[in-house]
Amino acid sequence: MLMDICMVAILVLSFAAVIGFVHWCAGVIRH
Amino acid sequence: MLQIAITLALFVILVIPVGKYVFHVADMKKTFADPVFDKVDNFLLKMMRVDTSSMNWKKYAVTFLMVNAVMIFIGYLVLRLQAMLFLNPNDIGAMESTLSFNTIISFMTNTNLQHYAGESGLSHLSQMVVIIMQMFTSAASGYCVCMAMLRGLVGKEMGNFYVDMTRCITRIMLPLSTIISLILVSQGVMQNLNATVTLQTIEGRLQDIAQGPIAALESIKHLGTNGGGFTGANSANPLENPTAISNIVEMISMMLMPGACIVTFGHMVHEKWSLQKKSLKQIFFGTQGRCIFIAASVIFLLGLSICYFAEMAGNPIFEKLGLVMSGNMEGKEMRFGIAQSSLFTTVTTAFTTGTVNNMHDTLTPLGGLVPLLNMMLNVVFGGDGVGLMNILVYALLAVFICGLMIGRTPEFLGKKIEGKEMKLVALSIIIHPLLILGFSALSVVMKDGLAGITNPGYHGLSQILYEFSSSAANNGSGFEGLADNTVFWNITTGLAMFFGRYLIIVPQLAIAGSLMKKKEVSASVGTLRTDTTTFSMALVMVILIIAALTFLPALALGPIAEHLTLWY
Repeated sequence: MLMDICMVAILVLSFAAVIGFVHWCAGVIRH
Repeated sequence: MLQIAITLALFVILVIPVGKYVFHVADMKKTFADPVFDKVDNFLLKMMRVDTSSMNWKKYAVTFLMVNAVMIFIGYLVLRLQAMLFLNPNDIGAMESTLSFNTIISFMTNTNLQHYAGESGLSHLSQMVVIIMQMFTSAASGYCVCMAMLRGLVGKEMGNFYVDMTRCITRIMLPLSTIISLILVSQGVMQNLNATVTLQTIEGRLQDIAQGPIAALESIKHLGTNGGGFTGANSANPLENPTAISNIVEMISMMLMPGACIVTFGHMVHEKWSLQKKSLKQIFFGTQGRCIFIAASVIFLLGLSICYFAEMAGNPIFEKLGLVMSGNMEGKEMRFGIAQSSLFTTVTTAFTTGTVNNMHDTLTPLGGLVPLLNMMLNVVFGGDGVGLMNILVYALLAVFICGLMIGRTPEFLGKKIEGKEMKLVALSIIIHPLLILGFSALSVVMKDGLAGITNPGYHGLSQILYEFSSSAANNGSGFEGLADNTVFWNITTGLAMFFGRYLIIVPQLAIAGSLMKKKEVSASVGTLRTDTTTFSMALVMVILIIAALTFLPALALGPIAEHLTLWY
């Protein structure tokens, strides 16, 4: 169960990082 | 050699009409399938209450990520609960958590790296709901983002992800995979929901024969450049690939969509410039499509030649021992031989599918260098949609470099390329080697990483490089020598697949979004032409130089050192 929580947490953080990257790329285009 | 020539000729013949059809689907034009599929698509979109208006690049990218995220979490749950669910005649237990993490990322990112054997690790429900379904959706996702990028590059609106996804699955993936499944069934590939049977062989031993929806999986496995086999031995297993005809069908299937995307791109550009007169080459490949196709073909044929002749040359140590060998047959199926194995190896890594009909770990060092390099380049046709996106990023880089060298304005498809696009181009290109080399470096300094190596020395480094190249390129083929079902390998390769997919697609969509908004400049004498064979060659050189600058040191310590040790 603990490993499941860890795996899901890694997935959530990874997706959050990629969505953050989308916003960063949008900033690059804007400026 | 004749078999190789026939396969490649069939590919070129088929890719043209399929590319034209894909262009019609992508551009919302009329097709012969509309009367049936319009009703199906409209019903599905209405049922899901989807807003079908066009999206900007940012919304398209976030929707793509969110849809993938939902499918990843559902798939993870099914893999962890498969023991309690139905359609499990072999009583297979739940998949271990880090292996589930690796498997679900692997299939959602179109990689299909397998750290498990399908016949003993998955229930029929998991094979269908997780594996086969994600083979459709991951391939369709790649196709959608590619079409959005192409629309952006030619100055059209980027489209709607949900509409693209639905149209791609109903109009391209489902009909084509049904046809391929039926051809494979005619060749003897199984399609049932029965449990594994244990039979007595002629030698008197007992052997387990896996059964299940194999033909359905095989068709989309190749068509969607997925590559994950129903059985651990993948397409080397006669249950998945029984005859020479099925072998050719599987190869053509994996080449079809990436090749067709290039033709689609050519037709889109041709239509954008409203060119009335069409030369023969423009009728087949459209404007611009031909030079991209030539560049990818040159690198593909170069790799194929090296792989084939390296395997034909065999192993010099056997000759010294007085053994008469006709080439290197270790790890190859007798029914396929060296020619079909070399072609399959080159195709599966160039078109980033990852299915194998021979074991890549037992290729000669130079033969093994080819699949490794194909995955490191990640632009030799590449996977469904994403391959073309990678080539186009290199085309932008080639335009920029060539433009600077000869004093021309960097323009691509009538749009000026500026610093902000080049930043994203550089980022998109550099992430791939960073993932491969960074994770490989981590593995060689960590105990858990080194523990996976089964063949220490130069070959051990090749095993590590191959694993991460396959993961970051979303290829999925295995060197098969690595003991990779451990917590360390499951998590690191999982992350390499994840970031190798999403971190590269995002800046590519951003580039298209940026170019889409720009005003078109008319071509002048100062414009570098990008529809010529000269540009194809410049593109090839740019790709090879970037590859040499990033990967040559690692390759020199792996397969190149192994080759020199073996022969000199």
